[in-house]
Amino acid sequence: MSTSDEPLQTALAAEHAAVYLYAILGGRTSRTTAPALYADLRRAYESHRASRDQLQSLIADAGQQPVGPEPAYATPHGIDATEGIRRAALALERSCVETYAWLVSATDDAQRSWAINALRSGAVRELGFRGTPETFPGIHELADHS
Amino acid sequence: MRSQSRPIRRPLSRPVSRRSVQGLLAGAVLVPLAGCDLRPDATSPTPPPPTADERLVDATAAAIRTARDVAARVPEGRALVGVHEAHLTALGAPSASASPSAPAAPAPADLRATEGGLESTLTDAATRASDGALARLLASMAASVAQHLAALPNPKASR
Repeated sequence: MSTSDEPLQTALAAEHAAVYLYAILGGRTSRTTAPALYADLRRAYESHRASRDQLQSLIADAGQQPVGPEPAYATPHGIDATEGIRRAALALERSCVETYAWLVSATDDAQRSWAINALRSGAVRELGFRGTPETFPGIHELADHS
Repeated sequence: MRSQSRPIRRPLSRPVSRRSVQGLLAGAVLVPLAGCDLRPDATSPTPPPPTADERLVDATAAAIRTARDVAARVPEGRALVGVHEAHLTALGAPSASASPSAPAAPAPADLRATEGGLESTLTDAATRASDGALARLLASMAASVAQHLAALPNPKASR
């Protein structure tokens, strides 16, 4: 098990941002005219909120103070239309997957298993935002997408 | 805790450099070459036994080659062949199959079962790897297989 909670704190900071941004994206998506996208955003929001809570527990269980969210985060450009929202969600999910891939390398044992599962879940979730299967998801330097 | 370079509280940062992965690859290639000196020399030191990570890479590569050979014989699996080849290259493992004979074409359900088994193998290997960069690479490969599995045509929907 890790002797430092710093990698988990970094992942938690990313989850705070993801929860905030998915709430923004969901709020800009019509449940009536884009029900599938709305449902995917809703599922992603709930999944990241669960990950945030799990990370907070892991850090607190280690006797550390979990980092809190920033007051606000920069919102992506071009999220006035459905396609822009979908692109923003895909980019957000990819950045989270990259963070979890890094977390895998920085942890071991139960924490690493948790990170591997988060990496897998995020990579599959990308497909809901019209992502295509990649050869090395989460490893930017080996990425096969632009 | 691994001694691992880390991004500075930026989730979008690039965690491990290409050099790390290439170093990993070079290590996997150089170790076998170290035992390839053709000149008999009684004074040569015995090559060190493979490390746990090297054994892990060998076993994982064998599982990838098996999955690659199954995927190559199923129309739905063609996209996965290139993925498995790329994964073998990243591990510095040879891509040739141990058994060149091609058995009967497997069913799509066999493809799903084989890929699901490979995903588990890769996940387990990522959990056990001593080197953090190797763990990251193996976990990414497992996620890639999971993505491709999720993107395979749903057999129930096509009936």
